[in-house]
This record gives sequence, C-alpha cells and structure tokens, in this order.
Amino acid sequence: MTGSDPTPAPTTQDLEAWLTEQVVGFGTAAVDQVTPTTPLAELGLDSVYALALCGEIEDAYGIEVDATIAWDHPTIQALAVALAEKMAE
Amino acid sequence: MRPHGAPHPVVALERPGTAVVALSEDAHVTAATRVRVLRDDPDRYASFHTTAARLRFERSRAAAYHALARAGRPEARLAPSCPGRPPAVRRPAGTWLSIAHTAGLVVALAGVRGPAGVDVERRDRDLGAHGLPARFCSPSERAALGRLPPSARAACLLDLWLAKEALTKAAGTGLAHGFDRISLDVCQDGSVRHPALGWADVGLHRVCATRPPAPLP
Repeated sequence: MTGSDPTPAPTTQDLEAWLTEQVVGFGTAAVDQVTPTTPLAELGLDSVYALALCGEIEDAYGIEVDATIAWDHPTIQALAVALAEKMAE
Repeated sequence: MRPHGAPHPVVALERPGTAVVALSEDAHVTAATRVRVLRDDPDRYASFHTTAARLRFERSRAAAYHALARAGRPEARLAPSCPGRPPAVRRPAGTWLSIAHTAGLVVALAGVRGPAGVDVERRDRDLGAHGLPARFCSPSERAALGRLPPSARAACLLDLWLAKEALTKAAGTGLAHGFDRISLDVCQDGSVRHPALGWADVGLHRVCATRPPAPLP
C-alpha cells in the first residue's frame, strides 16, 4: 500500500465541462452555442473532429473508446454519461 | 451560365450508373426540394436545434436528389435518416446514396451499380493536428509519409483521409472500421493509389469517390 488515496474518477459534471472545452477548442461553434444538449453534429463535429475527440479522451483519461462514440452518444451530456459509466467499469 | 449556388456535377468522378453532384453551402434550396425532404424524412427535419443545421440538411438532400436524378432515379424516395448513419434509398431498390459535407460544400453520390462512398474536405484542412495521423494511418502509410518532403505530406494525408472515408462509407461501416487498419499504397510523389477510387478538385475542396465494387483493402 502506498498510503495515498486513488485519484477520484471524474464526475459527469467534470466530464461535461471537459468535453465542452474540447468542442470549443475545435473552433467549429461559438462558445454560447455549445450546450450539453446541442447535438454535436450541429456544433460542427464531423468525422475528423470525432476521431480527434476520441484521441483527446484516450490521452486525458487513459481509456480506450470506440471511434464512433460521438455518434453513439451525440451530445456532450450523453457522451459525459457514457464516459462516466465506462470509467466506473 | 450556371445560377449561383446551383448543383453541379463532378464529372471527373462520374461513371455509367454513378452520378456525383456538388452544392455550395450558400445555395438556395427550392420549395420543391423542401417538400421532398418533409415527405421523406419529417422527423429528422423537425429534430434540428438550429436553423443553420436545418439548412445544411436541406442542402445535403438537395444534392442527393440531384445526384439521384442524374443517376436515372428522379423519383427516388429516401429512407428516414439518423445522425451519423449513412443515408439510404427507400425505393427504388438497387439504388445507393452517399453524402459528404464540409465547410462550404456538400457532395452527393448516387449509383445503381452497387454500394459506393464519397467524401469531401477543404484542401487546406489540417489533418496533422490532434495526433490524427497516428489514429487513421497504418504503419506503412506513416512510414511512407515520413519519406515524403514536408511540402507533400499535407496533401497526402488529406487523400488518405478522403480515401478511407469513401471506402468505409461504401462498406457501410464508417469510422467503426478502424481507419488505421486500412492500408493504402502511397506513391513516391505522395499520391494515393487504389483501383476503386477517384479524386477531383472542386474549387477550394477535394472530393474522393469510390467506384463499385470497392472492398476494404
């Protein structure tokens, strides 16, 4: 035992905030358009950005995700829930 | 002279039984097209949160109906669609459709010879960012890219991406088939060769389309 607490898993709210940062960073939608329930496709997320987002998720959280995850969970809110569930597995 | 924003064929990519049509992002959508969209896909049409997204959808369908007409299927009906899923023709049977859009342009391919795929990107799109090459290129493609002069890499990356999008759309898998598992031949000049693929430049954009049959390499 190391005696240190494990890093707590991010909450759905944490993930929503992080995902919002990523989507805003792609520059395909104005900041005020990026809400948790707006479809990612309407925020300009195309297949290039969908694959880029997968990479960012894998790099940030150390989990593997399907390349289609942004289509299967097509809003920031849905994606955050899916990621939180995956991290809890 | 063609009216501003009118659909125009990408003749270089067309073959007997296959039509490819491009439509600019600012194109006017006719009332007749809107009626067909509402008839074929009313739930999707009503689902958009923003006017811009709804207009984009209308233009993609306008390009699709024009491509279907050029392919000899002017009365084709589209099946209800889902975001992220390929469009489908409800009838007549034996008709295939692929749609691609990017900033400034939408392209539709319609064919009667088998499944086919199309993709479009701006020629200046940076596909070297976000660690993308490692995610969509095979090891041999990455090695080939490394042998190219830096000035040729961006164009090669773009063609690899377009090719894989078009091929996986034809296969019906899209991104679900790992793009890094597809390995294409990169020539010494950076061009990408595949017997089922063709490329064309349309203004600021580059388009890639498959010719059936187009099995995944």
